[in-house]
Amino acid sequence: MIAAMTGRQLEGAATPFDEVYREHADAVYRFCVSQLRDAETAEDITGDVFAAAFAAYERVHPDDAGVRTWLFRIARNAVIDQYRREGRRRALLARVGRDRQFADSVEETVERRSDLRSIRTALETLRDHDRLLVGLRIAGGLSFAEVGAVLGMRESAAKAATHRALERVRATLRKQA
Amino acid sequence: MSDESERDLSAAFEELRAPASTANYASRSSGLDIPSTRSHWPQAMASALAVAVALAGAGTFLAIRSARQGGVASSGAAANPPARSGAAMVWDSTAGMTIMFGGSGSRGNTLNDVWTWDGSRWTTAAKGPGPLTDVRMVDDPADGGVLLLGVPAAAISNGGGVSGCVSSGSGTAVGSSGSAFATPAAANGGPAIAIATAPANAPTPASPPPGSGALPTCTPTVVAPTEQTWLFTQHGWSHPAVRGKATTPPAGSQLAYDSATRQVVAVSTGYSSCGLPLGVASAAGPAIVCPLLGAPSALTRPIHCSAVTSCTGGATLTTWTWSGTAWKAEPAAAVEAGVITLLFRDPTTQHATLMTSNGGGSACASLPVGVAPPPCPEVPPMTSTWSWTGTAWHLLSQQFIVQATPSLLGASVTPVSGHIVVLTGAGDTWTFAAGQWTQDTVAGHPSVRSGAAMAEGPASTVVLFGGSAGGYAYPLASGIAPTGSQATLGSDTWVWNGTSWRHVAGAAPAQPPVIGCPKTSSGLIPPCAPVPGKVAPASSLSSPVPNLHIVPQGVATPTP
Repeated sequence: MIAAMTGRQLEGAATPFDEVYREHADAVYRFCVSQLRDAETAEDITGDVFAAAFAAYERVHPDDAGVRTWLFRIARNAVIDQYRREGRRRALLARVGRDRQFADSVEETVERRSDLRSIRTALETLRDHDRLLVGLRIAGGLSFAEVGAVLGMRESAAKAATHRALERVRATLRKQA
Repeated sequence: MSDESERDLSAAFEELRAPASTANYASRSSGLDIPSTRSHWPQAMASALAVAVALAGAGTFLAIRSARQGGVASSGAAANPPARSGAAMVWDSTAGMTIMFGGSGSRGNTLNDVWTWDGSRWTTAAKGPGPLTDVRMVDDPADGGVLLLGVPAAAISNGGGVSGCVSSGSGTAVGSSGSAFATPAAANGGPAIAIATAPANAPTPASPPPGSGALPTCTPTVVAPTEQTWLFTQHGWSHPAVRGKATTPPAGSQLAYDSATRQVVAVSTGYSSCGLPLGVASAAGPAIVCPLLGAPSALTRPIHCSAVTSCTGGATLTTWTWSGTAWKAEPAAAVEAGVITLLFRDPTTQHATLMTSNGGGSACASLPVGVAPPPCPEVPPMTSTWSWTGTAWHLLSQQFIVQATPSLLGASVTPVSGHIVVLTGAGDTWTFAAGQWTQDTVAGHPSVRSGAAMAEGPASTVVLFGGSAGGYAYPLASGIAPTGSQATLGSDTWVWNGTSWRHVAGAAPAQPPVIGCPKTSSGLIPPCAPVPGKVAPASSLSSPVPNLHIVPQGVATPTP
């Protein structure tokens, strides 16, 4: 009814959603892989992100310039939710004495790249916020302005914070080497 | 690190392609929250739109679309929120905008409206969960929204929440049990992040301090506020199951989100009667060395005080954590609340961080009437900083602050992007970063006020709204109606961009007519308007507010 009242303005999404998916799916997936220890979970979360985005696309009506940051904000929220679920799950498993090693389920695609494995290990040592910064930047390929938009930071602050986080990643990688 | 050196890190991810399963978005359901690109409460707004369209038809459409776009409210009311004091305000990181709720309106009524600030304008979002007082809000990304703690106004008006405690001595104590906020701001609900002072009221003393000629006579009365916890997400307000009042932080508790542990942390200061020994100067009695921890060299000589288990009591601190469905009272902390207690999220460590300050002053806490002061040196304020580990408070530092610091009493405080911004009751702007306070020199700033709502805004700005000028200068407890108060409320919005304040819109609280307070012998402050005090400079919107100082028990009183 609302759509009818608005003269189907909401239909006028500049980009059909399948094009949005094609353009951004890989980046969102890479971001999820960078944030989560389990590639299977990353796949699930990526699917959830696009399912949620598809359901809301016409209603939210993001413009071309904003669709990427909008998708990554959904992904960021999903990842934070997952952090929380993981925390609860790990606590539960710890109580029954059979905590799982997350590395066991990392898929071959991810494991094949030793550098990727190293980076993921280094990312795990970061605080959540730093991991988000690095993930958005190097895995998601976002500009600093976009990173700032996703995380609610000024561009300059996002840039400085990302650089600091990347230095930590570098330091960890040097230690690993 | 250059862009070039980032590329080898990025290259590691290049091989990854989204699995085919992720393309099934059309046939898959997801329970994820959807942030909008403009309004961040799309479902709540959509519900409002649906009802409005159904009722009013096409004629309402233009207003609705405007509301959807964040413009004029669909009700046709002005886009500027009405004047208020003591509203709760918080940056909602999930929505990417600032949320303001409630407060006290111009007629003393408790407001129940919600506004969103997107960096340039206010938009009505949804009604609140009901009129609440002592409201505090905190960003809660783990639950996809903001968490609110408050007390139904009805419970207050029905007689709960007030306990009287009046000193016949020089100090005047008026407070509400369980409320740690003895600031003028707290009279109207307090700012989103308010300053906690040591509780003003003590229970009836069990044993008087030796030598004291002026004992407090406290008569606790009914204290029955029922704190409520609400969650505000894009789906609107929900009232998560809480296991009972015993595990709910008391009204006025300070809240902060700990990103590192993904917990909402609440702290409140309470009162330990006859629990904490205080050093009380005395001409006789066994001498001990006052417990001055880490005193600078100038203060290391022993200060002789008598050891008492003082019924002036001591401030204690209680911590709660929020799990998403319930509050958990954490084991008693080793932290002693100071005269000033401030909880915030450290943007560097992402941990909830606690700063307590004893306020400084004489090394000996109080002097009985007629006792000559011993050679007690003046002690600068000592500030302790603690970090939340997820289960306990870890002491980070404990130091005497010898540099100039802002007066936090009645101030509005908010953490934003690596530092803390403080607008003092006198209208001065301070920032705290890397352990240092800096007073910013600004040409224009919000006028002198209390009870302003302040929080982080988009792009690491700070937004401030409203507040009151005039009225009572001493701390009102929740539930004491400001009858006779001449306070006026503001509806002005100011934005701090890191270097200067900008007045966006609205009228500042006007200077109230001055009615002098008659002197009384009882020590009670009568219901009258304050005597004008310091007037903030460099602002055309300035209005007077009394100077405040802290008496040893942490009670704010107007300077005569």
